[in-house]
Amino acid sequence: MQQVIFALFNGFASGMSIFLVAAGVTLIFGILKIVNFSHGAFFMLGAYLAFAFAGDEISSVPQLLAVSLAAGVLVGCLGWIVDKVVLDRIRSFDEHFVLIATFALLLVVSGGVKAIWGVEYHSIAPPDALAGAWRFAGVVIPTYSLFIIAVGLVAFVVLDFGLHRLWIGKILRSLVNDSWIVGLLGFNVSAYYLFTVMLAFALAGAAGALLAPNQSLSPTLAESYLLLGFVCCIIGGLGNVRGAFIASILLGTVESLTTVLLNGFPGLTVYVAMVLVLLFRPQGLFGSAAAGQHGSAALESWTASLPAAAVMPSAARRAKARPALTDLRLTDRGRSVLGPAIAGIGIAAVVSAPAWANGGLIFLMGLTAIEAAFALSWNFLFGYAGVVSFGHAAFFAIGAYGVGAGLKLATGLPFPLLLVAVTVAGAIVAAIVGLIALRRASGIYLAILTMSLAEIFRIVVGYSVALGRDDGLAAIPRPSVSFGIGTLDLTGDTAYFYFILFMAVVVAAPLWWLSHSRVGRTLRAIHQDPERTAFVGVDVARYRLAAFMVSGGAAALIGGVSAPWTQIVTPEAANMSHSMAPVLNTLLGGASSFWGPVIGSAVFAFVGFATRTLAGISEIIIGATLLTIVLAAPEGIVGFLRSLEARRRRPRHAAGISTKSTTSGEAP
Amino acid sequence: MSDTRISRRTALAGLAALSSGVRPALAQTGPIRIGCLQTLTGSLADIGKAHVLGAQIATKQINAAGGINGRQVELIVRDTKFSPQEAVTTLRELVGSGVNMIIGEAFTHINLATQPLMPQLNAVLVSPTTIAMELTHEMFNRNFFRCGPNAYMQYSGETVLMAKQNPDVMRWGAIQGDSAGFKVGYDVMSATLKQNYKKFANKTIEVLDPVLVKAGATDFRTQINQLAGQNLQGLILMLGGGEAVSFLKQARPFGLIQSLKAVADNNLNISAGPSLKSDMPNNFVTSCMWQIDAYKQYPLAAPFAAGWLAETKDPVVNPYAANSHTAVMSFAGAVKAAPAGDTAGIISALETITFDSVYGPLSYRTEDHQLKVGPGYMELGPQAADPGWRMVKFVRVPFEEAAEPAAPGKAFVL
Repeated sequence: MQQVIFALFNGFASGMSIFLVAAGVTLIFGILKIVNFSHGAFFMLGAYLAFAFAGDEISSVPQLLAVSLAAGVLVGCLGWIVDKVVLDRIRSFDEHFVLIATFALLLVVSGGVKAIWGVEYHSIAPPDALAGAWRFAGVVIPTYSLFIIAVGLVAFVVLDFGLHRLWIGKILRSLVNDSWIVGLLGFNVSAYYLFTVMLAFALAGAAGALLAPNQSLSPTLAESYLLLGFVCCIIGGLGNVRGAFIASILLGTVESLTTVLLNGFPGLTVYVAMVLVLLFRPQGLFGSAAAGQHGSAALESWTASLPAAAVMPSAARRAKARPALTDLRLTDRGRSVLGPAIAGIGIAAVVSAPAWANGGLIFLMGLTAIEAAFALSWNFLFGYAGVVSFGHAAFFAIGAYGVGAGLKLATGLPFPLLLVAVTVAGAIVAAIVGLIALRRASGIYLAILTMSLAEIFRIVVGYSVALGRDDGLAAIPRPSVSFGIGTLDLTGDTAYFYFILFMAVVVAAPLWWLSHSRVGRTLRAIHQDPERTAFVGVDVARYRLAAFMVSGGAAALIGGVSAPWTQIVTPEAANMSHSMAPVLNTLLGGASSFWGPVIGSAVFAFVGFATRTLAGISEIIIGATLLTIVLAAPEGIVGFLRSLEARRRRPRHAAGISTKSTTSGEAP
Repeated sequence: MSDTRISRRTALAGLAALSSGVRPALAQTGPIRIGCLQTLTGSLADIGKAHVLGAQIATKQINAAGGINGRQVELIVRDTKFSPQEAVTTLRELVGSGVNMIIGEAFTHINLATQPLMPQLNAVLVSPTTIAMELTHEMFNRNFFRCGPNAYMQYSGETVLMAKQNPDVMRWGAIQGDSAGFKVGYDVMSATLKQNYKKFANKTIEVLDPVLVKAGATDFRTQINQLAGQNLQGLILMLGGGEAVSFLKQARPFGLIQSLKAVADNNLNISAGPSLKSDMPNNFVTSCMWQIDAYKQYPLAAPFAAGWLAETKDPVVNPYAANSHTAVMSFAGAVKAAPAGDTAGIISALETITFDSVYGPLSYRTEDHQLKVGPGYMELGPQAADPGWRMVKFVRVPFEEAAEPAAPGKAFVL
């Protein structure tokens, strides 16, 4: 009983520390509609700033508060820079580009923290006044926990009061409803957005400093708190501070209680809680129903409740401002010979690689072809059906583990049959997930739901002794395929390299055909406007589910092809980073083009290869590269090249029209 | 250690690397090239950097002494980014450019990816600090050598020490990260604690089931409260370094730290004292392979420590560096014995030679290629004066007491 009482208390204390992070995330989303992945990195920066200011010991509570205030102010000022350089530019972009930009920012800031403070552990001793504990009826109450509870409550009360009672809060909430009208009334909209960003960043910095004496400082701090903060925002309803507050307490309590009552699977609690909430209440506990179903953002639900006349200007303006993926797709393709020429050279270089490249480069090219096909499978879902999955690596891992286990455990099943089996398995799992998830959530909620399911899959695979637990399946043999009349020996590097290229085409060809067929057109229509498409008799749910199955099956197939190439499969094949890979590759290359993901994969691989000797700063380089591309070319490389091509053609075209009109004008 | 500034030379090397993917001509003369694959990106990069520095110090010392058979040694460092795929790419690239002697990673999943490839690539992998048992058991191949203790040696050696030094600690508990590596660590320690207390103290002890913690946890108070209710005398601390520091910091208000008579840790290593300071428990034992005072009688030890000090300005040598230094020295010994430098010759030489190292003369066990070096440990304790902790002693457990019998090709059974 004492254990349960303490677990309840500690759950509340832990929930308050999570809320300190979640508050900033939900504030930015609530006002700006930006899902800020970089929030954890600025939280971590606050903790390291506290270490820089105070050293390894804080002598008193006032010093802790002063250090936290200083860290908050500094990180808040960084928020000003981030808003001016990044957020202000991407505010009107498609939300998926915003995700990439903030993810890139996370990489840059995390890399910077590591470069400045190193990756060693640091720790800050708390002031003596907070180092002890109280005892009530046999229950130990650490003083620092009481301090965190007090800070969390103060933060919540101030934010809630400010947002609901103060004039500035009312203006901020008006911005959410209709920033256009607020601007028309004479308010400086950009300044209020900037204020929100600086406030959220300051919260992150101060929270990092306040919690710094609570645990060790290490570069993993960003991810640890970010995940929990996001989970609370989702469970509470994105953009809802009260929801985040309640969700933080709930999550802290559930985690704490399961430690006592169900200690066997500690890593699963968070994800299971999130999946359950998203399935049964996709908009979060305190979000509105419309937000969960239709809006990747709660904005849609709010605007939907307003009179059409009030909404139209703002909505129209947003639609105009955002880079329109689908519009780009409908523009004519570049007629320049440059694209085919570059593609031809690239294909020739890859196909002839065994003649001129060393083993490392050939291996990397094989990996890149696999990742490119994987990204194509993801973009079939995203670019055509408009469905965002952040857990696509789970399908890849199903294929990789299926083929890996089939070959490693010498099941006797022929390799082609294994590939067919994992493709079917991937499609079936996609059907099951899709049947539940696609009906329950969409937009960012669906993205987070699929990510959670993938993480649960990864953790469960990590428990499997048969699949080698965390070490995975190593020393997977490469196969020889017997056809009766002969044998295809794929055990050599070169033979398997060509097999990968062949299989990449096998994956890409049906995807290309589907996306350029009537099915593809229907999916694009659904992407553009699902409701209007449904009005003309299209079964939207069925098409989305079919796209999910095709995409899942293709990802599993290419995952299966990867296992004999890498000869090892670990649970990391299903982790969040791997799920992000096709997203990044696609957006880098350009989601509006079928071949964009392939270009993105190639460019990413090239950047990684070119910077491989610059150890320790690859995070910063990759983050900065991504950020630059998103800011400079939000339509990706293909979109950028198309816009160049369009600009090149425009003068000539304009000149042609001018000449024509002049001629006709001169004619009698 | 944490200095990641890019020098002009590094930047130029990066640019030059752009063009290095093409297949090279095999060099028959010139420097002896040794590849070094390490994690140099991410939160575990400090381990990789220590490995690299140890190997670089060895390379400098060999070259300053005239090289091997008159040839200089060139160390080629590559970042695996903690990824098996990246490690395989860089391994293949190095081998493709004519390098057949590779110093491997510390991390299990990367060694599991690279070790099976070595016969096919016709190269030799010497991994300084990997502890995965299967590498010298069921996955054994002749192209792989382990240049440090394995998991069984490291964990069981610590329990030998506990049984000898703390015979009155009769009730043990554990906190364990929820991963396969930590589970293996707990399983070995709990089993060998019982065996070694019986063997060395003639006592039957109790080891409770571990309290599990999810990966990446930052709050441990509920687990600490559970442990505090178990009336423990000893604790097996099976957490990652940062998590272990957070755990011990948060445990103090509960009185858990003060009540424990012994703590067996395996991850904090030399960072234990500077990280924990006044949170240091009594009889805190942590794995630490090498320390100058314990090995100063050997001729290579003092120059190595001096080299480390010159490079880092830190008088405390990171033990990972000692093992990568040893890996280079084992290659140096092999090349002396097999000057042609071909893979078969290097393997045969490594199986038979005794070479000088910072641990003194060493050799590999011929049957399974396990380095015959006993594990080392630091015993630390609290003190009232600054910095709040003190080094009590460094202890070595002999190889013969810690190691399991060689069984290449067979799975290790506890």
